[in-house]
Amino acid sequence: MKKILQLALGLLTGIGGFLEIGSITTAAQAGASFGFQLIWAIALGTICLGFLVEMSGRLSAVSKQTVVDALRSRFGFRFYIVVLAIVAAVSFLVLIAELGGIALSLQMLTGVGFPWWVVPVAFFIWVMLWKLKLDLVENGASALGLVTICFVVAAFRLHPHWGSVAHSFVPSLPTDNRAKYGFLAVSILGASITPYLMFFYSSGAVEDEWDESYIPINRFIAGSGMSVGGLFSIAVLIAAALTLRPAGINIEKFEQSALLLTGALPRWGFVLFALSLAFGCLGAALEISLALSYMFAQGLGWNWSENEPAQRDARFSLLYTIMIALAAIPLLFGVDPIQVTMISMALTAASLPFSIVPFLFLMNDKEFCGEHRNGWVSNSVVVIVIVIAFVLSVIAIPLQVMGG
Amino acid sequence: MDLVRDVLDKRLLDRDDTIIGRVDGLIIEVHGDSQPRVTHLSVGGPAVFARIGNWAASLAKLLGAHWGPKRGAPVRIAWSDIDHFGRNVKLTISCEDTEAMAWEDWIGEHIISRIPGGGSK
Amino acid sequence: MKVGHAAALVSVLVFFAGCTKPPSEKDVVDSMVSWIGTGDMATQAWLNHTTFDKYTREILELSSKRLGDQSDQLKEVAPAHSASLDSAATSAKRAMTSIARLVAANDAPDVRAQLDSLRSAKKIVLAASDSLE
Repeated sequence: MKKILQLALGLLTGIGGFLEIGSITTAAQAGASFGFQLIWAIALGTICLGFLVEMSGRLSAVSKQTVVDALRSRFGFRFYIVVLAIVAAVSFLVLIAELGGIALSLQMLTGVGFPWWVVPVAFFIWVMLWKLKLDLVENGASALGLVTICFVVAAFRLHPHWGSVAHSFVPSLPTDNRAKYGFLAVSILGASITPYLMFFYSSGAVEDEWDESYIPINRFIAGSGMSVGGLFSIAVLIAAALTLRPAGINIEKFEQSALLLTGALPRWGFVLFALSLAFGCLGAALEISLALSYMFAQGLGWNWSENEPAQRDARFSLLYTIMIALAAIPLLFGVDPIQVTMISMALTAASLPFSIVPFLFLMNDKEFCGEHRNGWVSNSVVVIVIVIAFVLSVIAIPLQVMGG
Repeated sequence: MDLVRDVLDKRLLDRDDTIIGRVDGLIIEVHGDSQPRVTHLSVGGPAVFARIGNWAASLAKLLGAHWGPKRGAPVRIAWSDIDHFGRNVKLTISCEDTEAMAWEDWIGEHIISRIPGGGSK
Repeated sequence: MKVGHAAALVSVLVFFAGCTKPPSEKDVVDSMVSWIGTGDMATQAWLNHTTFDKYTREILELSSKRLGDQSDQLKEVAPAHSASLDSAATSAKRAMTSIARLVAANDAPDVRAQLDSLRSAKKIVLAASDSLE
């Protein structure tokens, strides 16, 4: 019974918690600028994420350790601190972007400028972590995130040519604007493959005391939750391809993407877009704040349970408090959340080898995973996608940056 | 046993399974011609920063002089207080017997408890 | 030390971000199409009661300002561009500014009239963009 509940909640988190500012922005830009052509990047990124999430759950179920615990134990302090610095820096940028996303959606709904919303939003997120238990935080945010299903409804109502959609699962190159195309592909991969999600997921598995009997459930949650989530991203891309692209709109400013649903869902499209953005980013902001604190606390051997009162794990609680406060500062000065999003997604893609390769070593280590070590399929899928993401980012980021 | 593989960087649990830190360093004594012997594990503080670099150690020392709990020496746990090794290093003593939790307690007392709602969920 | 490398990489990226090359004529005209399209879509959504007044006003003002910026940019990158493109951009800019004002006054019929003139200007800019292919 307990397992069925966990299965349902795991799926809820996978689906309701999938879309956030990174996936929405990158998919919308891709659809507006290149039609269906970049669907393959979403598919590739989502498959890779599904494999990685499954692995981190399996590692925790078998070894009773979180990914960060295992990284430090296996590779030692100096190595851990390098991985920590890279992943924490990139995740922190994403946290800024998510806070900005919530503030922007409130600006859309109320007309009050987003810098005014930053402090109340940061405070709200902090209070949720300070006072609520992990399950409530996670499931509550994911349940609200189910509103993002409106993108799927919109995609169907626009009657896409499904043959072309299917065709776009195979990568192809555009005739012009290749630099922008490459950069968007990199950003999509970076928005899909988020290392913080692995740390968050494995910490949850340890808090829920998973053992080897959870391996099949874990596989199901990771596989189906992430695939459905990926379909949501594809729905955003389809909606943008069929509404913004015909109007000639290239998204340069965030305000433009707010028009995404107004064609397919007249009457409610605008409000639904704002709510989707708000709840999607809320879930992600909560997860990232916790994941950042987990990274430090687990690696340094502090208490880290999100279910305990703040007093019991003082250093852990202080850490997320500081992170949330620091993330709010650039937004108060009017930093453009969309620029932060695009930069952080591209940097995530570029940093993947540093975070994922050591993790793959753990997944093939008998000491941590025993007989449940990775097979050749999991290893190959992840290695291939990470190599693609890294090579693309090394080529595309400098091109994009120099080309404007 | 392989000290680096089996002891260093492992998580430290006290008698009651409270996480009290990680094995951040090993203290080895050399007496004359006899074999070098590990006498203590060091936890947190200077041992960690020294592994990042000298600059980090000096910075930590500077900050520690003004902030936080005033503890004398770095936290050391005697080799004889180790119960057994495994996934974690389990101790026979309680966290109260060491100063390993000094920072946790200091932050809890000076910062967290002053913010409303820190004591309950 | 490797943290230092990462920091160096980031500063190199930031440095490159500072020295961007100027856009081509095609890029500028496409951006003009994009902003006129934005104004068009936002107005249509407002007429359908989908978007709120405040947002609609703001995005129209933004579109109009951006379109103005792009017209100025066009004068720099392609001084020899056609006069009809110039006048279409000016009239689109004017239409979007008026729509922003009319939205505040909740004057739907006049908004529709301005939308028509915005759309005829859009056709001219679109044609200019296509000719640059």
